[in-house]
Order: sequence, then structure tokens, then C-alpha cells
Amino acid sequence: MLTTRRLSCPEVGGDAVAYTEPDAESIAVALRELLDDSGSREAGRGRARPGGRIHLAALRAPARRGLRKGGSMTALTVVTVTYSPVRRWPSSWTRWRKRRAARSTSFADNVRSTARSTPRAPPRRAGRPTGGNVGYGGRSNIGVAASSGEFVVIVNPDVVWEPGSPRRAARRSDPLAAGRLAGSVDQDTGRHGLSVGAGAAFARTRHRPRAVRVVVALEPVTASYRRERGDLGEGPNRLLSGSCLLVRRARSTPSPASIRPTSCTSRRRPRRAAGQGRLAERVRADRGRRPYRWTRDGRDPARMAVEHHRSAWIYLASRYPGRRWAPLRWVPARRAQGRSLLARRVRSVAQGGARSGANSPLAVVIRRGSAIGIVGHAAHDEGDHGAGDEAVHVAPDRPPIRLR
Amino acid sequence: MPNLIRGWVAAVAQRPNPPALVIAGGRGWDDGVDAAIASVPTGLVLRRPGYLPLDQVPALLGGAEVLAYPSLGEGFGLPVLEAMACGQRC
Repeated sequence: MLTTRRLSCPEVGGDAVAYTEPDAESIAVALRELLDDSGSREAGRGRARPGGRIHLAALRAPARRGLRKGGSMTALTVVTVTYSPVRRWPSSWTRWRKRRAARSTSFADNVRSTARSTPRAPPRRAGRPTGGNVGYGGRSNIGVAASSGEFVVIVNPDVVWEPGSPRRAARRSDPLAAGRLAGSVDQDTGRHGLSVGAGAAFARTRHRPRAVRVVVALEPVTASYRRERGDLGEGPNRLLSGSCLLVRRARSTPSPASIRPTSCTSRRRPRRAAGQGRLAERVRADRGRRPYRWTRDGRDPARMAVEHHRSAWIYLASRYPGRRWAPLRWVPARRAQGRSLLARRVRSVAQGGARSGANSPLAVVIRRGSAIGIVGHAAHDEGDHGAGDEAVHVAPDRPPIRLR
Repeated sequence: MPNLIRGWVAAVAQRPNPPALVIAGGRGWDDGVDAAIASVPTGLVLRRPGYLPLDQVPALLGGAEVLAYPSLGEGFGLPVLEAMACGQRC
């Protein structure tokens, strides 16, 4: 696989994919190398699919039909993909135990460093170091393959799952009938007052003739999207797709398509580009102080700071070419480059930035009253459980999902 | 996308059995695609199947010799994850 080091692609691909710059000459060179080196492709294939016979694809009609007929959706298993060293896992385990958000949790180390020993896991928690960066996809596969249960939540370690979120998600998913499963964490809707997916607006704009785009670009949604993407990222970054995926283990589906995560919660697939996860209502991406109590354990601040600023700089350089945009492009870019250099060399800079919220990796906070997208054509349980209990019915004749 | 097409042409034009380029997805995302396709020399195979139902996507992703996704910007990069899960080679 060949992709670019832009925005989140390196994090998703890890060391399991090849990278290129997006210009034609670089692509040609990279393609030649890949085509001439079959051994490398096969090795990459092995790294990309360490989980074996597991495939990821969007939830489609067969899965929906399965939900209608009823199934064994009785509990959720959580797979946390993390870049934190193994020695940091115990604190994460403790947090998940306190949250009591799921039946079992599998932590998947995705850092390059190899661990000599895996810390002893609490009951129903498991840690599985890879000893290498196999990317988000490869790491997810390992975690899902090692987990049990039909439904699995793949979640970033910095996503805080508040009690009550599943129930609220189920309530919000009611309009999306026919067993549609929710996907990723939503973008924040407060700052610009977005009412529809910004990605949808972006796609819609690109379908228009060039002359129309000028007008369309002025509409609030598109303008907000552009402001957001033009932001260097020192403020909240709301492109959180992929932070949380609910997947269903389609056991009846013949291999190799055995796992099907939802890829969008919008009504149409073309909207999925950046407008995912419309079920969550008040999810907030935050760079404030408290979230980094979580984030520092979940990600390497220095690495994330470097990648973040690098991607922001690349984005600005490509998005705003020419002299007219030079101040917008270069002033923040130099600032970001300087910080990236410092963060790479002085770890305390990255960590200090994380604490101050100025130069920090992304943290996702789902506050009470917000929701991770979850479920289907669901009637949810309102009164049969005690305060704080989480149980979501997906069908009247089926057992509820109990999260405690 | 035009860069990908030009890069593919440059990479495979001199090969004895040049692999085809399959561009999946709906049209209208880039004004320069058609012009780039028009410049593809004869002898190379470029196919545009258009929008593919999702049940066909795993086969496309997993069966390709190389999946090229030279994105300029991704919120997440789900196609990369999906392709990796489909056993795509790097």
C-alpha cells in the first residue's frame, strides 16, 4: 500500500505501508520500488494483517439483516489501540476498571519499542504488545482477533467514555432505523454551530463547477470547514473520525470478511469523508489541562506533537499556495516547525505543551451528556436497571447489551 | 488524482507487463482527472468502474497488486485501514 504522510495517514498506516509525496514524480518512484520488490510487498502484507482472517469493511445490508433477526449482541468488548509503552498500561487498566464501561478490555501496544515483559493484567483485561508499529489497522485486527464477543468497540485510549453515553447514543440513533450501527466520535458542533457534517459540505462543494464553488464556499458549513482545516491546530481539532468504531463480528460471513466496522453514520456513504459519527451530540476535542492526564498515558506526546505540526504545515503549504497566502502559510508554519523540532529533542517541551494545551496531541473528551455512537433500531432500556447501569436493547425480543 | 495517473504512467510505461490502474469512486472530485487520463499512452490499461458497492470493495482492495492512496489530507484515512484489513500489500 502506498500513501502519504499527510494528517492521519501515517498513524493509520504505521510501518506497514509505504509512503510518498503526492507529486507525480515521487509517486512514480515509489510505485517502481513497490512493483520491483515483491518481497517487500509480501512482508507488508503480513504486517498489515497480523490478525489473520479478519477484514474490515463497512456495515452493510447483511449485518443489518442480522440485527433485525436478532443475534447475540449481549456485551461489548473494548479494544484500545495505544501507542503508550507497556509499562504505562496498568494505569490505563485502572481507569477502564473505574469506568466499568465494558465487559472486557484489550489494550494493544503499537509503539516501536519492544517490551520485555507484559505487566500482569487485571481480570478481563489483556495487553498485547506488537513490538512494532503495524499501524492502526493492523493493531485493530490483532485486538479484535484476540477479543471475544460479537460486538467490539475499537477506541483510542484518550476517549473518555462517560456513564450514560451508550444509552444516549441509542436514543439518538432511533431515527436511523434498520439496525444501523454507529461509528466514530463526532466532530464538535459548538464552535461554529455546524448542523450537518462538514465533510458533506466539502464534498458537495467539490462537485460543483468552479464558478459555483466561490458562492458555495461562503455558506456557513463550508466556510466553517475551511476555517477549521485552515487552523493550524492550536485550538480544538474536531476531525475525530476513527477515534471510536463499533464493529460487529459477522461470524456467518465467509472469510475473509469477518469483521465489519461501520464506516459512517451519515445516511449516505459519500458523506463519510470527514463527516462521520453524526450520532454523538456534544463530543468535544480538547487541548485543555485535565484531558492530558489521560492523553499522556495514551500517546507519546513528543511523537504526536511532531506529527501534528508536520501535518499541519504540509496541509497549509498545499492548501494555500502562492504569494497571496504566504503570511498565512509561513508564519504559523515556522512556528510549528520550531515547536516540532523542540518537541523532538526536548521531551519536556512536548509534555509541557501538553499540560499547557499549546503544543499537545489530540485528546478527546466525551462529557457527560454526550455520546459515543452506538446502536441500531434500538429501543433502549429506561427503567429496569439501577442508576448508572448501562443496558441497551437492540430489539424487544433480544437481551440487552449490558455494559457493567 | 492527476498526479497519481501521471506517476503510474511514468512508473509502468516501460515495464513488460504493465499493471492496470483502477480508479474506483464516483466522478467529479477533480477537474484534472479527465485531462490526465487523456494523456495516458496506448498500451496501458486504465479502468474507471465508478462507484463500487461496498460488498465489492474488499475484493478490490485485497486483490490489487498495489493500492495507492496519495491523499493530500485525511481526517482519518479509513480506506488505508480498510485496505490493510483486506490484506493489502504495502
